Parts: sequence; structure tokens; C-alpha cells
Amino acid sequence: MEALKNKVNELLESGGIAGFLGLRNFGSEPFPFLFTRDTAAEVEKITTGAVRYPLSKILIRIAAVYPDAIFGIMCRACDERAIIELFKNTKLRSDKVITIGISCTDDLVQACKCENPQPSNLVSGEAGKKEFDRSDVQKIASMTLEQRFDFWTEQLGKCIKCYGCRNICPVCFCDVCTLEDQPLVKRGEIPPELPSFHLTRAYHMAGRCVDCGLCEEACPVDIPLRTLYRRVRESVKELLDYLPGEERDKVPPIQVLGDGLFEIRD
Amino acid sequence: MCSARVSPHFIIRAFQEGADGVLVAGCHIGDCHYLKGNYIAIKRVAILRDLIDFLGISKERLLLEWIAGSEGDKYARVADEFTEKVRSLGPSPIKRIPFREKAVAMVR
Ligand code: SF4
Ligand code: SF4
Repeated sequence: MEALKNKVNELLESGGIAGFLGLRNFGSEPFPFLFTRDTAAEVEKITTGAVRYPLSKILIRIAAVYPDAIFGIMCRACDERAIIELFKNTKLRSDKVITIGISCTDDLVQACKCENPQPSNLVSGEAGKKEFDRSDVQKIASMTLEQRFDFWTEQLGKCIKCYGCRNICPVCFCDVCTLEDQPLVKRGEIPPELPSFHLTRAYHMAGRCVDCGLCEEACPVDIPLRTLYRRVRESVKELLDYLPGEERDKVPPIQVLGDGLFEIRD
Repeated sequence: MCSARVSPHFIIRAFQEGADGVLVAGCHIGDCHYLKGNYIAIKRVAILRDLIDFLGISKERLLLEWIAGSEGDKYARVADEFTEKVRSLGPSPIKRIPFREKAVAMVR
């Protein structure tokens, strides 16, 4: 924590950043906080928090108001993957954001089954070990079509359409959301049409989902959403050789028309 | 209509309304009036096929074929073959069960 505080103070004092978006303890609860030169005294209360928080969603809003300012942001490896996608989708500018990496505890890495817990600019803590485990996807893939359909019908049928999955998702950033588009999604209908509501969101995650798992954590009815989006992530990797958040220099394949090299594969 | 205009939402909607299969036909790669519209169509359909399959709707229910305006015979053949294919797969699971009522009942 000291290393993080020092880094933030150093950046604020040198004027390298206009503000640092991180977490600050209010009582015993961590909340998002923008540390600036004026509020530098608060840096003492900085915390990494035991749980994750999609700070980049807040940064998008701040950056929209102060497009010329440079901001620092506390980020775990998953946050960084999301931020990389946000750069590509022009929601943030890479020359205006300084990521300050923090490590995740081994417990967290394990609970997340994180495929890559190491942020690039690690300032606080040690990088955890990978815990990649895709047995959730395998389990469903090994079912028969009929079993899969019944499984998902039961799971998705629990949906209360709270939009929590979308709201917490660090790579969901559109001003107008398809899932609230009246002709496609009827207002007030619970559960939403199955499976089109979730199929739509899943499709929109193609080439974007960074497998942070926040959606599944947020879902009040415990739908295995991450498994669904993981499959989409894998499909995009298999079909288009693109792994969101990991390919800093590659153009996201679904946002461009393409180069014609892509052939139909089964 | 360019195959790039076939939004994934159209395809999802068709399945939701109970379509047993969806055929997307477009001009051959290289022949696109808008130059690269069909490049995006193929990517979309490929991803969507994987996705519906994972949800339990066979990927064979969604087909993309390149059929030029002059290839009437191919159009007829593809439509026939696809119809047969879909027939062999049976009705779409989406309409097989009154899923809505079933889903609601499951929650209660
Ligand atoms: S895991 Fe869920 S919350 Fe995270 S990027 Fe993917 S869809 Fe969004
Ligand atoms: S968080 Fe869960 S219940 Fe809420 S809309 Fe998403 S899937 Fe439905």
C-alpha cells in the first residue's frame, strides 16, 4: 500500500497527472475516489479494496468532461485488459491514461480463476500465479444440444432483467443500449425473451469481453454468465485470432470489415 | 440488400420468432458492391453459429452462402439442401417448449 501511496503522491506533485482514480476508505468501506492535488491529504486513506470495482467506467465519464487531462487509475490485470479495449473503442485515450497496477491476492486469483492476473505496470504487491480453468465451458460443451438448451433455458429463465450484468461490465459503454431497444426487448417483461436477450448481449461481447467475471458476480440470481461470455471470447480467438485485452497492437476484428483472409470454418 | 446489412439482431429475432433455420445469402467475396460488406457478414455469422450452438441451438440451423445475382440455380439448390438439412434437424428447440411459461414456472 505504501508503494501505491508514494506513487500517487509523486504523480500528483509532479503534475504528471491531474487526478488519480482509485478507492478510498469511507469508514471501513472502500469507495471510488478521485485524488487530486487539492485532496492529496486523502491519499493516506487509499485502499486497494478486497473486492473488485470497475473504475474504468467512471474514468470514461471523467475523461469525457476533461478530455485534455491525464489521469492515473488503479488497475488490476482485468481492469487493464478492459482499458486496452476502451482505448481501441476510443472511449479512453492511451496518451491520457496512466495505469497503476496492483496485484490480486492469491485467494482472489483463485476465486476468479484468472487467466492472467499480472498487470503491466505493477506498483503494489506481487504478481499472482495464473489459475486458468475452463472446465465450466467444457462441461457445457460436452452436453448434448438438448441438454444445453434445457440448461440455459433454466438458467436464463431466472433473469430478472436488472441489467446488473451490463451495468457493471467494464467493456459495456454504449450511450444507447440494444438491450433497451423497444422493438427488440419489450419493456417490463420478466424474464426477458429467451434466449434472445442474453444471446444479444453475448454477441455484443464478441471481441470485447475480457473475462473479468464481474457480470457473474453482480448477477443477483447466479446465472453462469461468465461461462457464456467465455465461450464467445474463445470463439473469437479460434475464428479470428483475437483475444480482447491481450492484443495491444491488433485491430479488433469485428470493428473492421476485414482483409478478406477470413474463410468459413466449421 | 448487402449481406452486411443483415444485422445479427435480425438473425437472433428470426430464431426467437421460431425459425427452424436461417439462411444468409450474399455476394461472393470480391464481388461486393460496397467492397467489403460480405467480410463482416461472414465474421458475424461464424461467431453467431458458435454462440447459438453453445446455447443448444444447432449451428447447422444457421447458414451463410455466397450466391451471386446470376446464380439462380445455385440459389435453388442451396435453398433445397438447407431446407432438407433443417427438416432433418426437426423443429427449433425455441418453439419446441413453451419456454416462456416453463421458464416462469421454474422461477416460481
Ligand atoms: S466477464 Fe462479464 S463483465 Fe467482464 S468483460 Fe466479460 S461480459 Fe463484461
Ligand atoms: S445481472 Fe443477471 S438477472 Fe440481472 S439482467 Fe443480467 S442476467 Fe439478468
